[in-house]
Amino acid sequence: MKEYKFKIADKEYLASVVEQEDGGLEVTVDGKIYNVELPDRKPAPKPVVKHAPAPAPVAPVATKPAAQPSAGASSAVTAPLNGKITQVLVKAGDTVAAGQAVVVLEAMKMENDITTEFGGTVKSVLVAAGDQVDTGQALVELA
Amino acid sequence: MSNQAEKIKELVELRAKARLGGGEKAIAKQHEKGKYTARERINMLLDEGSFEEMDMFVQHRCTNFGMEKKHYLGDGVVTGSGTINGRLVYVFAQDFTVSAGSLSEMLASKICKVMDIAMKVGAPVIGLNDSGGARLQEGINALAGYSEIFQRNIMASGVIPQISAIMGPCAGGAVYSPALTDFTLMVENSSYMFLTGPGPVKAVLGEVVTQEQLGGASVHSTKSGVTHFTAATEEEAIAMLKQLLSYIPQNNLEKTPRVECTDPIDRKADFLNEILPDNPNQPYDMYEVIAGIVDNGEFFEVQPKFAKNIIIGFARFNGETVGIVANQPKQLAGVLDCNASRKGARFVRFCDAFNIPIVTLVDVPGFLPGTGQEYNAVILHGAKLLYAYGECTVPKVTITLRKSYGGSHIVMSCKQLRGDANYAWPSAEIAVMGASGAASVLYAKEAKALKDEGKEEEAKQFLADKIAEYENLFSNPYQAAKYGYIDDVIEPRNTRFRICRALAQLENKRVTNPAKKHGNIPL
Repeated sequence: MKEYKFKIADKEYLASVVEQEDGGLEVTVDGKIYNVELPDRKPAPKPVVKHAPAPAPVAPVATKPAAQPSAGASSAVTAPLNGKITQVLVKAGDTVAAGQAVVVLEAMKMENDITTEFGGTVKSVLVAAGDQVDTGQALVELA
Repeated sequence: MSNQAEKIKELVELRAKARLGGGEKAIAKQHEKGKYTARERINMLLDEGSFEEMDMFVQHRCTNFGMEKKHYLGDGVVTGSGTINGRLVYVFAQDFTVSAGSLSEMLASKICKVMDIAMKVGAPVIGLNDSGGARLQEGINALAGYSEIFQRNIMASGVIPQISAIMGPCAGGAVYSPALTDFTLMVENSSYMFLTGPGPVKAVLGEVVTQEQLGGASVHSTKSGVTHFTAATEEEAIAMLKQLLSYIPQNNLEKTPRVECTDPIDRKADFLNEILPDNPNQPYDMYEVIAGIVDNGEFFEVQPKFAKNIIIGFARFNGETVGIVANQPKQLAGVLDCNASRKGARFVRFCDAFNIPIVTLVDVPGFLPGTGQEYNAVILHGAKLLYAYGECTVPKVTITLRKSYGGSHIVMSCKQLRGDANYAWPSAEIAVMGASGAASVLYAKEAKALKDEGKEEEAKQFLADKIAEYENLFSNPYQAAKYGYIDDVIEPRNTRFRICRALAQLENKRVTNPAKKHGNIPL
């Protein structure tokens, strides 16, 4: 991803550009996503990288899901610090973009903007202003 | 054809054969995976026509498991020297087309050879890794090969810059060579690093993970901090390696390369006078401050996605490289925690080893409290950063923008850790702890006495007054300046000029630590 800052009529904009596999671009300007096609641009000449298959399991043992990357966990914005919620900036049904602040968490002498890593629709807000939260606690669920 | 001509023809043919590595089929397969071959990578990395290959005719000498019939010239690694922007480097690139780049005794000896020469002449070593692991047919000889490389990585550490790019698999013992080098770069989606792969992980723990989840670039750049850089493509990776090299010297006895400075050193950044929010509890973006003071706003960040509460990377002042270490109030309030401490510490030590001055931008509320941190030895990790700053003898310029409290004040390159120029903005708050915490400790008795008399309101008011008093007294830079712990309080927009001037004064700084075998940094 590449990020650009530019100014039009004294207003500053932040744009991020992500190249897509088909040679097009996904451009995000101030949280809004645009898909951009470049007519003269051929898809990158390099073939898509394929992953080597994972090695076969060595012994048949009971499996448990990995701690990290379950789909459910990745859709919630969690508290990075213990602290107090001072402001909730979104409500259920809102569309949010990656990088957007969803709540303000007061901790370590600072009103921290807690941002979402991924874009989506707010499914539910799990905290209210004044709530004390723990590190790792889910604050906002995204669908 | 004369005898001589025939011999030359043989040489030409042998060279052509060696250049094909594992053969055309294997090369096509490598391309199919979206990867370049070892030689293609080297050609992209080095100045055109500068590559001089060595050990092209090396072959393994293994006779187990039919290996006596499988011989490839070069034995799975391309090594040699060349220039990048005119500066000498030594490179090795593992060739996945030959036995999956698996590491043999002879392959290792080729890598060791370039490392030895690089050490002798004082030039950086760049390793392009793409290897399935040890060549199992060779047994213990492959292990010995790894060990020989690691020993050289260790000896070269702090003498010549060592850079590893991971452009394919890097598993098992192989990961330790990149881990020992100064910088690691991973190509997204096509590289991974782990000690034990998904197979054993499942067998031993019953945990099912993909290679990407276990050790992909996304994991090592965000969670573990194992890699310093990630690149979307190999082309981007190569460009980043070149950029990194442009900031660092050839070896520990050389100064950093100087570039022409087109940005006036006395350029005033007026916006810095207004960048801090009126409420000291509101964050701002430290990247804007960095961009406002360094040459042309150019900042080459290291580990941008890991422990984002501390920012590290290279920039230039008046054309000369500096390492920047800065707290980021926008992330976790800019606290120091385990990861931020070790991230900062290793970077400070790299800069010190290679004569790169350090500019530290301080806005730190303290160390992150809690069992999560204490159980993970935040004491020791914090001590690493403290040790690194205290041991370091390169020029150190520290600017305190806002908060600088308690232990974190000390750790972030304070005056007593041999800071050379310690400046503060008028907004700085340098104190042993925050006003509310300090007042409630200092006046606990009095407040309690009032409460016991049933005077709740008075107790509250009394504490509020004491907090205000403490704030007035300590939430400013002048207490520290009064004792000379801050050399000067400066206007924010003059920060660039003050840093440039301090660095110019410090150009010939000479401080030596006592002679010793080595210190005992709390690892």
